[in-house]
Amino acid sequence: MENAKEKMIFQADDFDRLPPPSQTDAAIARKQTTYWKDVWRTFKKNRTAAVSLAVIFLLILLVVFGPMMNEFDYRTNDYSALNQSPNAVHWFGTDNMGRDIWTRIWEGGRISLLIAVLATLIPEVIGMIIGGVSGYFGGWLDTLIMRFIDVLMGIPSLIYMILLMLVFGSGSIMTLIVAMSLTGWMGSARATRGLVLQIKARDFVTASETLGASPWWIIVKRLIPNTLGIRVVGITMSIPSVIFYEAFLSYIGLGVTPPTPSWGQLIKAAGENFRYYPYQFIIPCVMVGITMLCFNLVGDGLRDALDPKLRG
Amino acid sequence: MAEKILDVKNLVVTFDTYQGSVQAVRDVSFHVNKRETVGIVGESGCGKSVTIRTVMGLNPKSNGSVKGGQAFFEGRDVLRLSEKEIRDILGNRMSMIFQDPFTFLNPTMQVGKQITEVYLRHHKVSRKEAEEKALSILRLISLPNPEQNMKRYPHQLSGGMRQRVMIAMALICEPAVLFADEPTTALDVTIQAQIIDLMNSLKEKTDTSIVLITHDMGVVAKMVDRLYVMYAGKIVEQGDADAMFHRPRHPYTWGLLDSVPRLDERTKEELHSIPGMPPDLIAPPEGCPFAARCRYAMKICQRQMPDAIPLEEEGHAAACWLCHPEYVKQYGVTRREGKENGQ
Amino acid sequence: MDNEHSKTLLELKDVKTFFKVSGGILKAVNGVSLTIHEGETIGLVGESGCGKSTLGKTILRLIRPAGGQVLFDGKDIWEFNRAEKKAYTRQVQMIFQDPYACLDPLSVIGDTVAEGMDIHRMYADKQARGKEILRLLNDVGLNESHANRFPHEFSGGQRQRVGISRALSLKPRLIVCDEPISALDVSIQAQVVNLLKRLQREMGMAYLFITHDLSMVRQISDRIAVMYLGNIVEIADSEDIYLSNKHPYTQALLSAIPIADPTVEKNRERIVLSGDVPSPVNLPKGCAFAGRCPRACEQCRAEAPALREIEPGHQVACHLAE
Repeated sequence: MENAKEKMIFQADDFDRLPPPSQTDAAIARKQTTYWKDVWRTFKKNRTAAVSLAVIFLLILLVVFGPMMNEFDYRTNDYSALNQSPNAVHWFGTDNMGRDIWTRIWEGGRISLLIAVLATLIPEVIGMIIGGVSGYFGGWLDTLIMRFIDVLMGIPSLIYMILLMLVFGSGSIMTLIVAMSLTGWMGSARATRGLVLQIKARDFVTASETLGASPWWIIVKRLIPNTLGIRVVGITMSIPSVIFYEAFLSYIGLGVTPPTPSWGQLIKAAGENFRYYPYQFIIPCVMVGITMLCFNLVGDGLRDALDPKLRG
Repeated sequence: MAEKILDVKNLVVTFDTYQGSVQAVRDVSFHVNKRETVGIVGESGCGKSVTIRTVMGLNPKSNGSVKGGQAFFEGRDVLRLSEKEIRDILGNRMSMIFQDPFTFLNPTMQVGKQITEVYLRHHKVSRKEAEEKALSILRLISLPNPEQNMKRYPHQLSGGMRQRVMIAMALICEPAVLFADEPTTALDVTIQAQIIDLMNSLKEKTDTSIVLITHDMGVVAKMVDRLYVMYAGKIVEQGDADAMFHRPRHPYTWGLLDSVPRLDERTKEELHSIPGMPPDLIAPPEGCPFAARCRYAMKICQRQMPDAIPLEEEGHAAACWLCHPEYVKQYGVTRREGKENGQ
Repeated sequence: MDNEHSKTLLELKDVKTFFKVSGGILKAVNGVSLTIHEGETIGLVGESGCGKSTLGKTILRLIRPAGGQVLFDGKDIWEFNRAEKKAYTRQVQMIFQDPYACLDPLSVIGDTVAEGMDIHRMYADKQARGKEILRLLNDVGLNESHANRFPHEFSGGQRQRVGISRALSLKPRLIVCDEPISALDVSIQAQVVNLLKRLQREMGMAYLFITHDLSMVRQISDRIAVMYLGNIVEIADSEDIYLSNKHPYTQALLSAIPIADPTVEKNRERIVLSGDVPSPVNLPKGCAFAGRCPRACEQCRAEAPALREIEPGHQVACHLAE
């Protein structure tokens, strides 16, 4: 320390004063990566989840463009080509009415995935609003809503679904989505309510209140957006179960009706001659399996990425 | 010359983050003498807590790393000890009290038990003897009704009592150094006064040296013998409390003293404030980190930061060009405005 | 006080705010009467749990008092109709303690500042709205480039400035500042206090400055009220609180604050209170401070003292004060 200054050579302007610092505090703090960028980076590090996400994208591409990739359509019967094994013309073979399975798989995938997405998002939105209202207002309204949900949740959802399908009549995609929405909102309402209870205690919500915001404003603009980040995991994880339900309902004859294909429908139809033409059965099963697995793995990856405790 | 109990030399600590490595501690040297209270003062993020935690081996190994330096404690470099050796020292020869006792204490265990456990971990004595030791330490720190309070759980105690319990745990093995990281920040002022009194009285009753980390110049004035001021990972000024409070020489120290209004003075006009904010330690400026906020900044300050320049008084040094003999020769001594020599 | 502050803005009359807790009723605010004049700054000082924040929230209509009245411009705020309620939110605003929790992490700064204007539909025209946001940001020392950034890119002091400009956006007549500087670094605290002082000079709003920091509150307040366990124990012009205080709690509080000067510290006469602040659940009879008061007598334990004026503008709740 004493030796440091021994031969310091100063330049002529060294002791010139700089202009005084500005009194305002305007500099931007470190440009931090946003929360979502951070989540994305952690997510990418998780190899399985990243691959699963890629597979989901591939599936979506195939579902959109797959049916256009050959000359067949999903409903025209061709009795000259019944139950063909996979070959150069019919890549996945044909079914017992000579329809091209490749086309039917992706056409069915459209319907299965459409149902999966809609039957996940619609109840999620309903649940969010109900959960948001319940959590924000609290008191007797909250008690009422929560007890109502408790009762409804005590009954297996399959029973509602079957009942609703019987009432609305089975067969159309809309009925299926409505039925699934009516049973699916409760879990999301509960989860949202729990999160809302935490978020509404934070100062920025109080700030909105003191600014004169209506409850609707607070729920829609402050509470729900701030729960979304956490709910994303739940949403991703519920897609596989919806896909499964669709397949299951179609399998027991409560889903979409032929000739409209869905994966469940394809499995059901193929199940009858599984022993002779196993590929007709296996291909849609594999599709359902892959989709469910990938969504689950993506959800898993998202949960890890969103959990601040697991992030480095 | 007093005996040095802890001597930290040229400590460098960095933390790896996604955005780059944060240079949290940049070449920090300080020492603690036997039976003295040393203060390390600075704002949040200046590296004061990291410095202490590094010396105690408490930094997470995953992303924090000691890039250089030594820390001699009782003849050994604690930065180079094995984990087991560190564990033998912690709570025994070196101990620490934190800002928030509630997170530190085990909520499911009676506080008396927690205190005796610490003693039993480091001493081969019977539980009975350890309990007696705990009682005596609780009396030393004047916890009311020590026998009854030993049987209580942390949540049954008030904030001030919990702080006392934590101090008792830290002191039961009669450590050579007690690190206190913002020990009164979470407390109300009347309780803070009690804890400060208690810690001051410990100086007379025990041989323990205290290292106080805080941002509060008032608390420092009440407790410390010597003081280090840290800014942006560096020690910018150091010296005896008297010199530091009455004859400070670094503009940042001036700023710290001026921006806290004193209870016994009323400033009618604007409060003195330091403009701007501390630099980002991922890419700290090349020269003096305070230059961008300093009213006295010169061209050289942007190019280079001086090493600590020793001043007239023993042990008083400041890392500022204003104190450099060459500058002083040309322009004279620059002192804190409005507060002339010793007021 | 001087004439410019003579018009009454807000009046609290024997306000009581209670909470049900397990084990009894927590009397957070236990009969507080206080008058806030136009354009003045009242410092409300006390330790944690004394009810100062609850009192602030009561004024903001966030908590309904169990008893007493809060009168704004002479009208009870709990008897407002819909339109008056909405109008009240434009008159009274709040600044928060925690610069991290007080901004919505998902909203950009411009939208946060504009929230009040959007709620009250003040600017239909997008351009006019943008201009007003800019003006508000400039007022607190931020600029255009900040409007489209998210809160996490800002330092604590800057966030606090954003919170202040949000409160200013509705041009309120009273701002309740709930510990606005206690979470900031010392060098930043002075910046924010200076900003608040400057804004008051320019816009003339009143502040209720809630804090535990007796040294900072002296620099900003015209009058100071000291609270202990739900009651105001002393209220006076700011300088009188420091120079001719009468209540033993005020005295203890002042003497507990360390002064950043070792020489002064060594020669200072100090009162160190023993014990902790008792829980505001099941308060003892008599003066709430009697248990810790170095001068408590029989009367103090038997009978709670009322706030009485001992000099013009100086009120004390203590049997022994003269």
